[in-house]
Amino acid sequence: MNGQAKQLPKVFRDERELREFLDDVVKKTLENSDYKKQFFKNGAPNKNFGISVDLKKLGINVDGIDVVRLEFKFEKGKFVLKTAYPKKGSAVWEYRYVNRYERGWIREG
Amino acid sequence: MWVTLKGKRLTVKIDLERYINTPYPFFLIFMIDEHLLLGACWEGEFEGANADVYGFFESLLTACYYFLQPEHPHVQKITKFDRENAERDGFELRDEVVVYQTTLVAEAAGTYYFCSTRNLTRIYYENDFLKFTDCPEYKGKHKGVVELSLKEFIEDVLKISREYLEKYAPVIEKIRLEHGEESDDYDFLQKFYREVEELYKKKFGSES
Repeated sequence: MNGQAKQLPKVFRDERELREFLDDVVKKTLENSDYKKQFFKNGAPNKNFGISVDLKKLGINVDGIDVVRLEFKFEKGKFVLKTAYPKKGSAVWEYRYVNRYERGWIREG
Repeated sequence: MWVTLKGKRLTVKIDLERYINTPYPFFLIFMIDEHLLLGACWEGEFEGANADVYGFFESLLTACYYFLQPEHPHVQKITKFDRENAERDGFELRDEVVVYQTTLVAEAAGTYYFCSTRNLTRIYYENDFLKFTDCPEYKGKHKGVVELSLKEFIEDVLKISREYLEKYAPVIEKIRLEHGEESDDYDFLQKFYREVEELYKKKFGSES
């Protein structure tokens, strides 16, 4: 932060644990009738879209993450997950590169 | 090179020169009047947020599509659910009959609730990129609500979406394909645009 090294919060032990978490989030999102509606417009699938998933509503408890964002594309008859990232929670930090060439990173929020 | 799509109140700017190989490859700025809903302001200059342009326009058209069918069961269910989500996100909604949450398919950029009453559109937004702006005119303006008439909003979305589809979608698609992306389904978006236009004509046809 501002030129100094900073220890980032760590929620998952390794990549496998992260992967298991993401699989669980996607699976439970699709099982949830409210979130499932956000995949469609009056029955037709959305093409490129993102949704914000409240982990509490899915019954998932992870210390430090409250909301996860998922972005999908509908390709060849299937929803494909393009990316996923945590949006809210005590372990979710936002960084902004202020002036790309001079100032370095600062912490936000 | 920035290109600008401009309605009466809505402005969208897209940078066709920079491409980042992520699900949000383009830099995009979205404004309604002077409200900066998507994008940042640093040292007196606007900067775009990373976004998927197709998804951005699909989201705007979806908002119109829902606003024009407030009685549809799907829209009512989405509204009920997203009203709860809006409250969780700290927005105080009012008498809106349609509530639609979208990420605008932009990277971690903010939270948006597109809402409508019978005659109005209200967009509740929190633009995360603007939170730590150093432009004095935007300090503390990252969270807010912007209101315009329903007709005005839909007309602007139709106008800028048409311009995007006709003029810039082919250019953007070419850039995407050059970077090895799969082609996007523009037939779908064209069809969806016409569907929203039909609904608009049905509702406002006699007045315009």
